Amino acid sequence: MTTIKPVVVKQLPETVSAEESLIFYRELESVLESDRPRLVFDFTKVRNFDSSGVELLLRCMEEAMKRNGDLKLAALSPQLTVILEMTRVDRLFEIFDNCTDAVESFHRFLPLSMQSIAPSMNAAGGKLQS
Amino acid sequence: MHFSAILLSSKQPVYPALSYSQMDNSHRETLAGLSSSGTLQTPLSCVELFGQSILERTVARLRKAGLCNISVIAESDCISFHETKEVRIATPNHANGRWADDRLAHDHWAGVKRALLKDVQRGIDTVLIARVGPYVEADLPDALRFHRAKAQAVTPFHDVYGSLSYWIVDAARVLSTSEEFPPDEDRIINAPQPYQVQGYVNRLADPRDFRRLAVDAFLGRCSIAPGGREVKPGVWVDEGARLHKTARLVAPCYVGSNARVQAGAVITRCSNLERNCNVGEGSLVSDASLFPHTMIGRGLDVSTALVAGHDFIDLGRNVALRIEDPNLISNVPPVKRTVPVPLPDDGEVDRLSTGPEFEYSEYFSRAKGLLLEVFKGGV
Repeated sequence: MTTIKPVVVKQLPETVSAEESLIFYRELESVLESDRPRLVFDFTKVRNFDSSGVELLLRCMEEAMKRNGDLKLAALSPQLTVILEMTRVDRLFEIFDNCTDAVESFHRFLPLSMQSIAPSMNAAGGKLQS
Repeated sequence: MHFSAILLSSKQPVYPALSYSQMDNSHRETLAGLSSSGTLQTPLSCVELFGQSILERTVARLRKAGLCNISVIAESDCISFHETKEVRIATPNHANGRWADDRLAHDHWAGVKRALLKDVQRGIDTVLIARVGPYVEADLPDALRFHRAKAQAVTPFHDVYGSLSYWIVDAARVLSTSEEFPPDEDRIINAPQPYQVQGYVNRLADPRDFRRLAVDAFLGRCSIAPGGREVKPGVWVDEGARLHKTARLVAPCYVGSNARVQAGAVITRCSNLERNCNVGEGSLVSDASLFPHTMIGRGLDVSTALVAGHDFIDLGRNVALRIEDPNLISNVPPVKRTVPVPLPDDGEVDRLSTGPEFEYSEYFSRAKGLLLEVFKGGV
């Protein structure tokens, strides 16, 4: 028997600088130290984000991976995407358009969930077969 | 025959084509480090490409075509080159520092008129008036012959897309008329017959055009050629540039004077680093233009972009942002140094005392170590 752990969605503050990163990390420490933490960071509110924010993401990712968990990112603006690409951090994370998709991705492989939404399309294409 | 030129260089526009038009409102203020205002205040015609701005190149082209009397009417910060280029300079005397969007404002026309009057007094009858926005490689003698043959007061230059804001005018006839200048070619009934430019044209309407110009110059599609010494096929390095032995320059690329490329950095795909740029350890600059005095931090990936100090334009995503974090990009204070400082014997460059001391994580430290090991193998 397996127990499915809940996914924790955490909204980042408007400004993610050195000080805010530290506060945010402390708030998150208990979740990160649990077994197989499953986290989604919601970037909807973020307006300021610098290299300490990148450091925060890497640190959280590292802690989550140590415990067989995962961290996913959601609702990034184009500017934030540019920053993550520039710092080469984008390739370390799964990035989603919104939190719902990010949470859903922990439970099932997204293309398969799309299959249940539009079975006729997949049947016509005949490509997605297990 | 007497022939002179008046060049108009304005502070505007600041790239209306980009101007965040593809971002929705919620993202306008969202930035990494960061505010979305103030991106690239210098007009592209005054930005250096291979150590020379378009304005300077236009002056050089006109001199080469035999024009000695060249006047520039420019915003004060666009004319830093004028003292060394021996061209007459006038600055428009207006308060707000703005130019009318699509046509010359009255005060600038007044400046042009004054310059034309001086030319007439000197016995110069034909004048080239050009707004230095687009980069145009026109055959001036041919254009002049066309102008004379048509016997018209104003001959506008066109390419396949329309007017290029270049005109050859008969000074006396233009001064005697009460009509405004430049003529609204779409409105007037007896529109002058335009001269069709056959040479290379780049309108420099937005930052993409600037990148295209750089790429075209590298690929020999226009007459602009990289300066400095071609250290290996397709790789140009200007005076005083310092390259770490483990840095990789992959053709075609250009490194400007006194620029620095640090250990493990890679410059490639028609990238140009202008003077005093600094690319940090392990960073990649690909298909990008770094304007003078730009510093790129360590371990970064700058691709398909223009970077001017704190301003970053991602041409792939059509996103412009201002980054205030010195660990990412920043301005290098100008350094007056032309003689390269010898590197230490072990080949390691000294770290900038004011440079970034930021480690992204142990992932990057490990990756950097691996890269260095690979590159030490004799590149």
